[in-house]
Amino acid sequence: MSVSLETIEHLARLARLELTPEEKTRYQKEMAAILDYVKKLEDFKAKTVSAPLFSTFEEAKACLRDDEIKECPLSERKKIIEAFPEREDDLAKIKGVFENRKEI
Amino acid sequence: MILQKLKEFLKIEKKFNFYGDSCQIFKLLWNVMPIDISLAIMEIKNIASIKKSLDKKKYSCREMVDFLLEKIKKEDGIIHSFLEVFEKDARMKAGQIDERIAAGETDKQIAKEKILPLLGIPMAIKDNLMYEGHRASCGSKILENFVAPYSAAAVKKLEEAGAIIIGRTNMDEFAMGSSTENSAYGPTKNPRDIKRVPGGSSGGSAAAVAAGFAVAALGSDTGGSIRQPAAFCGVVGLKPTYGAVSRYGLVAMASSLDQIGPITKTVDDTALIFKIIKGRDIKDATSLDNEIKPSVFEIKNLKIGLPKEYFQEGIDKEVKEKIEEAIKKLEAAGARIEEISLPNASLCLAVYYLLMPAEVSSNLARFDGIRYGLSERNSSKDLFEIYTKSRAIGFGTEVKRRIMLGAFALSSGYYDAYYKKSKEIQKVIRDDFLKAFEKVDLLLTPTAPTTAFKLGEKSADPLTMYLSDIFTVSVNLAGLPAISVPSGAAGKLPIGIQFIGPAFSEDLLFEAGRVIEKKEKDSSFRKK
Repeated sequence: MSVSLETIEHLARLARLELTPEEKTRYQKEMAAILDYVKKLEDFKAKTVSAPLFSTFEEAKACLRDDEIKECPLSERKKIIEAFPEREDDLAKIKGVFENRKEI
Repeated sequence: MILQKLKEFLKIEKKFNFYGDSCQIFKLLWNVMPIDISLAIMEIKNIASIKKSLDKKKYSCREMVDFLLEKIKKEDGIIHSFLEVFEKDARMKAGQIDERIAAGETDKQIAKEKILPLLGIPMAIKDNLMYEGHRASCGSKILENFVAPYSAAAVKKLEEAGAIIIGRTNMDEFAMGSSTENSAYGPTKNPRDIKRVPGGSSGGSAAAVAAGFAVAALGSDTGGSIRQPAAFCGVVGLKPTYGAVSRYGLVAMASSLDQIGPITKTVDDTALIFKIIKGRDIKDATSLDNEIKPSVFEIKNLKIGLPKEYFQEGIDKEVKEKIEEAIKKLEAAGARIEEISLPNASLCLAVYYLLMPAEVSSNLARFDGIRYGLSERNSSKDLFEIYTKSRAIGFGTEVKRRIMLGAFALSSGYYDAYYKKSKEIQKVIRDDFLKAFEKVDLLLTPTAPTTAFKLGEKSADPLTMYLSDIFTVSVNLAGLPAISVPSGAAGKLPIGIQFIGPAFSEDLLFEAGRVIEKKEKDSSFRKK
């Protein structure tokens, strides 16, 4: 299966990755090879199409805790805040979300 | 001391072979020079031997830790199994333990030991496990300076059991790889042959245990990342049943497949550590408190299945021979060997290389240069560019490749054909295993199709590298437990045998592993 340059660029945008031209050609080739390998799945025809694994709400619900707010320990909170690359008091500081917004 | 050793050596070897013997003498000098020889013969073989020595005061905990740190300093420069050694912390903890041992009365000590089954045991942890106040970089540049704000549940349990965490080990970046060559901090080398890889992604943990730097280590296994390096380095590695060990504090790669497990020198040590780290944790919704089925083990009653699809092609001749030898030994011991079929085995790797990247692409979306880790905020003109630049600079080639592949499998137009279809086949693969376990108790396969390969041998072609996971990924897809136990070697390169069991049958895996271990011991004893 061939993968177009446009597809690679589209995926890179979705994945928020800046790729160099060399990387683009490289991934174009490598992804094509990997997709050729996984092509064998196409031929698989289940006699009865089974439900995907762990897909039901009942299955998922069994492991959920009550929906309630639990305080994060102060020392943990402090360390998490300290890890912010840029901050103002206890808040993470970022560039404006709606300024210079690119169309995705 | 050195002279005496040299004399002994020269006396035994009548003919002096210039090259070989010079190497031997150099090695001998290298081994004894900076450390006291009395420490070099310390018994640090396994957890039981350390406990015995500490108990009988053959050495103190501090002496043992000092010895290991010295050994790491001297030998790990070449092997590179550690990314960081927690020297100060380890020495301090060892000192504290010595004080406690000195202060405690005998009976109290015994009582203590029951609560602290790992008291004074030096352990290493993979770099994707959080250990409060210490860095956890996942072998990636994007987390180079990230300090864990809390400890992973499994790490906390080790500490509470008395273990000393001596360092964090090298790994393929974000656990993506089968050779530890994808680490942003350079590859780890196999202690058995430094021209070869230790396997991966928990290559640092396996190498550290094999080299004797730590008596045990934790790794993580998403598609074979504990078992394959354990096989390559000649140590024991367990991938527990999905949900048996809490993943809280393990940096996620593919959440539905990841499990934390031990890497040790003996099956007993793996069993001990597994018992300590397992159990339901409220902070991991997928963790379970299922009782591990205790096995009433008798080799005579054991039915072992050989999945015929796993023995067809692509296995090295030497690996095949050693596995067949092990099978014969099991048969001689009374086990019943039966050929069985896992009809969809040929699809496992393809399913894995779609589901895993899909989860990778969403799990790794959190590394965006905003909340932690590498951030290109100063060189970017807007928010979008902070994301794309931080990720471009912070992630390595394999990580980017899998993120792209995952984005592809999940993108509209391809989701049904790739992701959804893979989830459907995953169910069929799991059903194949369930059917097999109606007929047999355990399955036996090689852990990897080859022995440790050379550095650089497979790094140019991702697909070839992926093929080294061919016998391990199916276990993760089916959520089952599996153990790799050393079983012979091709020259100096170890070969691993894999036992796969039904969910929560870890005890049975340990029993089967012990049979292989015992046979190994007996045969190496005979050789001597």
